[in-house]
Amino acid sequence: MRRRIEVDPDLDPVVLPTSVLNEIFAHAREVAPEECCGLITGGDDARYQHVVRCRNDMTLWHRRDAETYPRDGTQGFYMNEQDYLRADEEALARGERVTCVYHSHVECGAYFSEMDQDFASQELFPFPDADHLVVAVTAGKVVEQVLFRREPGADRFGGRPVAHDLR
Amino acid sequence: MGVTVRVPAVLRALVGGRAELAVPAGLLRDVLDAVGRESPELLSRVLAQEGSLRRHVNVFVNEEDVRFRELLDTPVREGDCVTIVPSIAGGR
Repeated sequence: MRRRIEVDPDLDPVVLPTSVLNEIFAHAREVAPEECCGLITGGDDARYQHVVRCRNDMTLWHRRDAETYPRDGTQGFYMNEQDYLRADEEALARGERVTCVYHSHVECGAYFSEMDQDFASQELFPFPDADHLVVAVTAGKVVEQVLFRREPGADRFGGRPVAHDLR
Repeated sequence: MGVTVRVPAVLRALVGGRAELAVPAGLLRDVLDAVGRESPELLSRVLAQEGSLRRHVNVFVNEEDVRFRELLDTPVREGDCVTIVPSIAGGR
């Protein structure tokens, strides 16, 4: 059984461009108290280049079928399929790929939940090599961000601190 | 004319890199049977062993999620488009 994964301060931090983080933070603040979700695309030389916002359809599905989708968008995200397929196609056309999936948690920490791990570990997850960035929003402000990456040789994710790159 | 089955980039390796498959119209189960004849690997990722749709995979006929129609008994008519899409979700 999975347990939530928290940041491991002993792991090396991952550096993301400030512009990328600012765009994701703005997205998270704008849609709170709902969770935001989206993708970061990039290439081999610059892994985190472009942020693509995607719609969180969780509330939509919850209203349609609360038994199958017991959470609404304040407690989960369900990435709009058309949005992520389009983002993937456009990234490929630019010679990039999806390198990170991001979402927010509202009024709780930036951990990798059991549900996050369940989806990220499924056999058909579309971006198996992507990292996962979780940002925590409390009282309308982003207070924490952690990047979860599959640890080499281990069947689990590690939570890495995130550092800004001002370039 | 038949039915177009759209395969997202993430699954194309299972069908020789093709973005679309052309199969005969029918119920969705017939369409997926035809997909399985072209790529048993793709079909095994869509259907569980007991024959139901896997939990993390969505199938759309045109713009409609078949979970909100008749699942595998959803009619797929000439000219329709079937899209297979793994879901991305999570939460606190």
